[in-house]
Amino acid sequence: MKRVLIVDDHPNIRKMIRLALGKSYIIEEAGDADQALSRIEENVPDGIVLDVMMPGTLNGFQLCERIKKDAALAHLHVVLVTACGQVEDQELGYALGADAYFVKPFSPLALARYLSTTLNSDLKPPSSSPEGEAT
Amino acid sequence: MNPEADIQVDALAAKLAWELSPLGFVLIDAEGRVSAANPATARYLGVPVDDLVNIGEADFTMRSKHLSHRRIELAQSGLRSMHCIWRSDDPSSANPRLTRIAEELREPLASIYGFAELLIHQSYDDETRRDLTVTLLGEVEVMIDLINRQLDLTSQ
Repeated sequence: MKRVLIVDDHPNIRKMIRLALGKSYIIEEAGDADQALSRIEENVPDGIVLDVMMPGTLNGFQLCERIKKDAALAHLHVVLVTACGQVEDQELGYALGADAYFVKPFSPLALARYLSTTLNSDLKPPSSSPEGEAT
Repeated sequence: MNPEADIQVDALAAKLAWELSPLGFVLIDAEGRVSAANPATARYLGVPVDDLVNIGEADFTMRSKHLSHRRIELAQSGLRSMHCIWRSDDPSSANPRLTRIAEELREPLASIYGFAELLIHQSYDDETRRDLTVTLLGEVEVMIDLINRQLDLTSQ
């Protein structure tokens, strides 16, 4: 099962993405870049959904750059999900190596479909009851 | 003038420059966090000084990205660097205050949009639906609070 790390300082955004991704992935969460680096050190994920503006000494752009410059991590698929919606922000994100750029507000189900495709998961994004409790 | 008086004059001049300068000044401590910001910085970024103290240097750089900016390495007396910010004369440059407000509003809006989409397109039991609806309404309140704070700042 593919592993996805969600990095965002807003717990509700993490909750929303986790629900959208459902049980198709092993999901881990981090509230800032330092926590993210600790999670990555413990278990290298296949994909990372990364906010940009976060508290701490590294923002999402800087974490993305660090990941992509690390030969052991460069393969990691980085999706920036951010409120920084200006063209120059997106250009900077891609220049730093991001594989995709979603501007908030965004469709969490579109993000799930994107990850399903790009991580080559055999599993499809959930069409129902992503967090258990099927009805 | 004796040396002690010189020091007092220097300190007074520094205090006046800090308080009255149209340039924004920010001091970054050895841990990479904002230890002090002057009133001009607060005006440029549209937030009280207290909201800037202790944020990370990277966070501050992001917030001030649409302003002209210079960083000076200090590496002295517990300080890592000083940032100086000012508004560009380029009329085509984005209004940093409006950009920041838009970015702040996008956060709760993302939750509102996302949870609404999940509630419409996914199937959940009653307890989960209620939890998601409560979360969504909480984000609406966050958004209302943000708007009210901006209106308060504008009226000051």
